[in-house]
Amino acid sequence: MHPIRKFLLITLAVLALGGGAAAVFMQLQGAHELPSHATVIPAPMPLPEFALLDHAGNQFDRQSLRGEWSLVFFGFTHCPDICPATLQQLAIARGKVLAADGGQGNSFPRIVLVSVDPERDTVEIMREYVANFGADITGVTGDIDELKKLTAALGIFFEKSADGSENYNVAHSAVVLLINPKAEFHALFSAPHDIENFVNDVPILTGS
Amino acid sequence: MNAKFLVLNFAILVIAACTAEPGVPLTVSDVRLFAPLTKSHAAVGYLTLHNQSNAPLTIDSISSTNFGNIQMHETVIRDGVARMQALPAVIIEPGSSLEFAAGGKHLMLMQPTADTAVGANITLEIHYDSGGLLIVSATMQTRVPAE
Repeated sequence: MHPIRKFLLITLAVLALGGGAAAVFMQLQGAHELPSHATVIPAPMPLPEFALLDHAGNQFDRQSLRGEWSLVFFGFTHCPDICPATLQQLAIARGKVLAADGGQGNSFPRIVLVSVDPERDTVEIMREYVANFGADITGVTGDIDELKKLTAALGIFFEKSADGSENYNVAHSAVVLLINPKAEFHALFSAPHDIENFVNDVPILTGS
Repeated sequence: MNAKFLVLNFAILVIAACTAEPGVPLTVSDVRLFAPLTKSHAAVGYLTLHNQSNAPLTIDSISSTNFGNIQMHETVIRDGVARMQALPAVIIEPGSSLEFAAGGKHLMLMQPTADTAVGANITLEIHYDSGGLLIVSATMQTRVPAE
């Protein structure tokens, strides 16, 4: 065979093999798409035992988080800005993901607001408050010592301001946690939050 | 006479500011007011302020006939923790805009004195540069769009 023809044939073969390998690689990458914003916990962490109340007055504990994915945000109902804004972002993200899913449902985690202000956030106030953000949201409140069992294990910070007024503020971690159906801390979204981060990453993380 | 002159000047200033006439230093856009989420909570407001002048402009306070107390606040996220701090005043640099938006600067609208439910028309009085006044109106909205 002429050396030039041989060279061209080898080059074509190499290109064909390389292209095929690249196509296979890209397909594998697509199958294992990584979240763009969320931080995945390398070894999901089991939640501790705790006993709080949901907005219907039922016990809400580690067992309550089993069986489905949950997006958990720690906030308080007197918080005028970041708490309602984050819950609004999650509610909008849920609407977008479900709409993209053709209305099949159950492809977006339950949204859970855990109050870091149980002094003012009674079960009744939580019920009234979470109703603003749609049906699939759970408000959680209860005994502060039980709350601290959960927040301490998850590294969630909260601190009541010392101004002494009844309109006090509560500084709190702004992170959104993803809890898997085994009631394990699976991933987190750091603030500032963006609707599209949830829309893109939640289905990847939950495999839905 | 002096009082009449002042009232006339004030009226002209208000009208001019609202219609963004040339020479008026402050204009406002994208006003969004969200109704309280429970009976006992504050409403919240967002807007963008534009300084059309060649000098820094100070927003001294914001008031309303619909609310007894309006405060400018800022949510600051540091080391992953959100804290809210009151802003006694804000300064807008010459020719610049200042955005009040979710997760940042915002208005806390407290002590309602009139109808502040969703759909209510709310008037905000923006006091600036120790005597300037800009009046804007917006309709109270619900925080979450219907699903």
